[in-house]
Amino acid sequence: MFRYIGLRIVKGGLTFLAAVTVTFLIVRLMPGDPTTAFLSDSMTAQDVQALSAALGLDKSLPEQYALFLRNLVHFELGQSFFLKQAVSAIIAPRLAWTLLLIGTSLFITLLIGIPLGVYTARHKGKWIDQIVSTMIVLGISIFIPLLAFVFVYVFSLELGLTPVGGAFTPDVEDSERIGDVVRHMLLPTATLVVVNLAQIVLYTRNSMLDVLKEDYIRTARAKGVNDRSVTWGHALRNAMIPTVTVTGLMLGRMVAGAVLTETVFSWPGVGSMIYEAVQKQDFPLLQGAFIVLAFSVILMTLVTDLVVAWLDPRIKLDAGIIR
Amino acid sequence: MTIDAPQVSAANVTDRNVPRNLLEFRRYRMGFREDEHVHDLIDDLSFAVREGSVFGVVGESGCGKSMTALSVMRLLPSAAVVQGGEILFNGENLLAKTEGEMEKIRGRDIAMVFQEPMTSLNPVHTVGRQIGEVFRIHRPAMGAEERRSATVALLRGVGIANPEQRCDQYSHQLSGGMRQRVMIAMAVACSPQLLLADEPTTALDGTIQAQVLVLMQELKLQTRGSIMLITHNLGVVAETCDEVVIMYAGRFVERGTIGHIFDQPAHPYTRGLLASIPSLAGNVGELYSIPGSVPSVENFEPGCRFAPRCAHRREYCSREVPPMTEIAPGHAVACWFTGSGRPA
Amino acid sequence: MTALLEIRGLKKYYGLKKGLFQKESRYVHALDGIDVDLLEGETLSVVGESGSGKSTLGRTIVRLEEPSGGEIRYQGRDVSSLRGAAAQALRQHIQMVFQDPYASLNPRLTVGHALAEPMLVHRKVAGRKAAREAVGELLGRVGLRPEMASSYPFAFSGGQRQRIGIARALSLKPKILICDEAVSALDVSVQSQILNLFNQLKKELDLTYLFITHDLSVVRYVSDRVMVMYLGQVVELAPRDAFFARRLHPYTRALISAAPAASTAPREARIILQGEIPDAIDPPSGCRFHTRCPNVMDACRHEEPQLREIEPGHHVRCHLYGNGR
Repeated sequence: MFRYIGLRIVKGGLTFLAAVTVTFLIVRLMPGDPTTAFLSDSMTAQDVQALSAALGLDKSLPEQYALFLRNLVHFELGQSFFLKQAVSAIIAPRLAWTLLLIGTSLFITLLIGIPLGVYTARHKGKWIDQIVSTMIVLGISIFIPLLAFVFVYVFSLELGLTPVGGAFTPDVEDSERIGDVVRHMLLPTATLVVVNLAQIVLYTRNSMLDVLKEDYIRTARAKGVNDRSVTWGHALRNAMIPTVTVTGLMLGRMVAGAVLTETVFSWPGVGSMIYEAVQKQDFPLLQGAFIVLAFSVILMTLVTDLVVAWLDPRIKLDAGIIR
Repeated sequence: MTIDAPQVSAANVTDRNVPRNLLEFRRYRMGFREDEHVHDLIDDLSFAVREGSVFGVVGESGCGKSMTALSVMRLLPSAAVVQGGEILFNGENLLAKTEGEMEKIRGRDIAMVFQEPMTSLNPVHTVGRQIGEVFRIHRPAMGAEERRSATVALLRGVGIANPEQRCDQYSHQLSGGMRQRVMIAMAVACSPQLLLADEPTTALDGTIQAQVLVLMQELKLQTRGSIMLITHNLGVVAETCDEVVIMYAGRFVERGTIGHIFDQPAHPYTRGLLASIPSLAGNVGELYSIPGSVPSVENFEPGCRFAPRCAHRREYCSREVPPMTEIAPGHAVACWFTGSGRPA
Repeated sequence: MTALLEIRGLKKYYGLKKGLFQKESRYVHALDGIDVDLLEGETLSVVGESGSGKSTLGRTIVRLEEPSGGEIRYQGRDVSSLRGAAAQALRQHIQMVFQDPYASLNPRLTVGHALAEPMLVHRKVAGRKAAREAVGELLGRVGLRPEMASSYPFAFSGGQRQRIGIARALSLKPKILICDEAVSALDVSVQSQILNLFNQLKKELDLTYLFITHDLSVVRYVSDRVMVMYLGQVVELAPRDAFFARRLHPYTRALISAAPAASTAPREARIILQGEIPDAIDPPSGCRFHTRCPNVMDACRHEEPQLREIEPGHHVRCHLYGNGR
């Protein structure tokens, strides 16, 4: 069991190493003068020289790589061009906002999605199932920015119920701060939930339907297990295995989808930061963002794998048949 | 190992010397729904399983024998439709019971063992938990300690070595033969009066099959319960059963003791079946084969469903369904030719 | 009779990988040194239970699996190391009929298409029209109507599909047919039809069969010789009547005893083996059967018995017989 965890961590670490190496190489192996990627037009010649030295651009590639890795270990991601601050200092608070948004969305999605998937599987073919199935198709096909804009238009501009953007109102009383953030979170969370709910319900429902046909469910009923226990005690854990795997993949995409959502709602997270950095060509910031995102996706995948291993004893105990 | 004998209520015992009917099918009919149409499968099935006997239900694919057992448990697939008749258990009609009442009966009074040991156990629960569940449902007064020791005793009783360790293992760590034993342990945990076994040894190797059959017979002796054994293997039937009913295309075809069926087979299908089995002692000449093949549900003929393949068919065979006729005490057959002569 | 196929020391091991950082250190010994000849015109039955290697033997001969060691000679030529086009050519001579009639036919191909394909690939027929005629003839030979060529597999029953599988195997006019549990998935009444078909085809087409099965009554009916396998080794090989009459190896006795007989005749006492079939990954030391053998002796635990010819044509691997005499 521990060997399995250890192996997964090592594999995750190797993947991360590969990701940051690719990021490193993209910049330095671009055609033309590599320095132009890091330097901006408004710098003087002296700035350029100092920056080159600081970035180690005058050194050989392997030396630069070593320097890069060493900096990484110290969370040193370079300096933003435009904000004149350390990249890590910029990313940290924005990461927190993104995690808040994604975390809450995920929690609500699973809270609603899994029971809904189970319910529609048990009542397959009935009208509730057909309604939900239609909604699933809509949810999967919808274009995130469109949904976001519609929400903002209807609820913020027309109805005035929610703020137009941002994560919080400045100068708010401490006692009201939480409520304030919650109000700001409503629309962006709703957007992410609608889009991802469809996926979770779809996978849970189909997975449940497959599991309910299995022989061991029939055995459970033959023992006298009642319907509720068959669904929640016997079927669910088996059905969750593919759902959890899909959730892990979905998380990775959610992080990418955050760029769109955050930008529309001006949510101060990593997603909108990327959007801004692309516009201004603030390369160190982008590089830092990629590295952080790569790390989060790999971490989430690892957690997903571990949860699946906890659910499915066939993975942990790969000893096979014991005679 | 001792497994308690099932509790028999005084109200059901009429004459202690004559074994009473534990399970009785009375003119049972069921079919399958396909789109708007219902195809008839089981038609007018009637037979009885006596207390303390091993009763075989024999037939080939599509004859409805598995559906027979699932009907008793009321665990038919969703496309199935019960069309009539009764299934009496201890005199009470199971078809009239509510789902809640059936849940009490399943696992406690009637239990079932299925054909595929590889897929019939839940892969994410330990073996001990799955057996213990039967106790949790039907003997709620048992504490956790008691349940565990009862589970270990059951595993030992079905011949599994190291039962304490096996209790905490998962099904994928057990071989096919062991899984089937676990299934049997689960089934006999509450000493049911009736054990339904649907091809319990078909998926097992020959030497393991022999072990499991012996085990089932031993358990039956200890519990004084009955077994309804569903199989297509006439060899298994000859070894383990007291009485047999032969089914063809959803209908009862012949019923009798082992002696009747194997030594004096009356129905042309039974005779054909027996003649087409290669013998371990050697055959003379070519194996007999029944011409044609088993009809599918959509293609059942009116009248006798075996008529298209029967060498003795007359023109009335495809018109009138032959009734079940008793040709000797305990031996009945549904055939115009060997049973009752011509239709009236 | 000449030996069509000579197998010497055939081995097939499957390696078990244990993850990223461990090398293959454990093997499934599916076949561990098989020596047998397949004589022209005979039906040799191969009997065994799970883990015996009987299916692996069939698949290795047809080159669905590559041997890990040993030799296969067909008509005197070594074919075990053939690759590519040469191996392909061998397939014309040795064909296989599979167990599951439902799984072994491509559901998206019509029957005619499935039967014509091998003939076209191996250029046995020239063009579509010739292929159609050949297909019609094949279907007739296995007892089906030529019009069935335009139907898809789902339209047929299990027995009919098995006939189609046989037709496919015959399409290249092979000399050897390996039947891997070819009747095990069939109902009794269908099984007898297919067994009769096998007999008929053997006479008409001069075939040689390697018949893999676990059903001893079928073995009794079809075989000229019988070979019993246990955990990757041959434990008994004999002509049919001698096999059933003498039953030399204790495992053979247990197998025959375990087979249920469809009759009311009184039976001899059942031999029930203790314990489970051991793993092919770590086979028991000495004689592989010793953990379950009712006649086990001390030597059996330490010394592996060799396959010896006890009587003419009758080979046994057991310390009870001819040990160093």
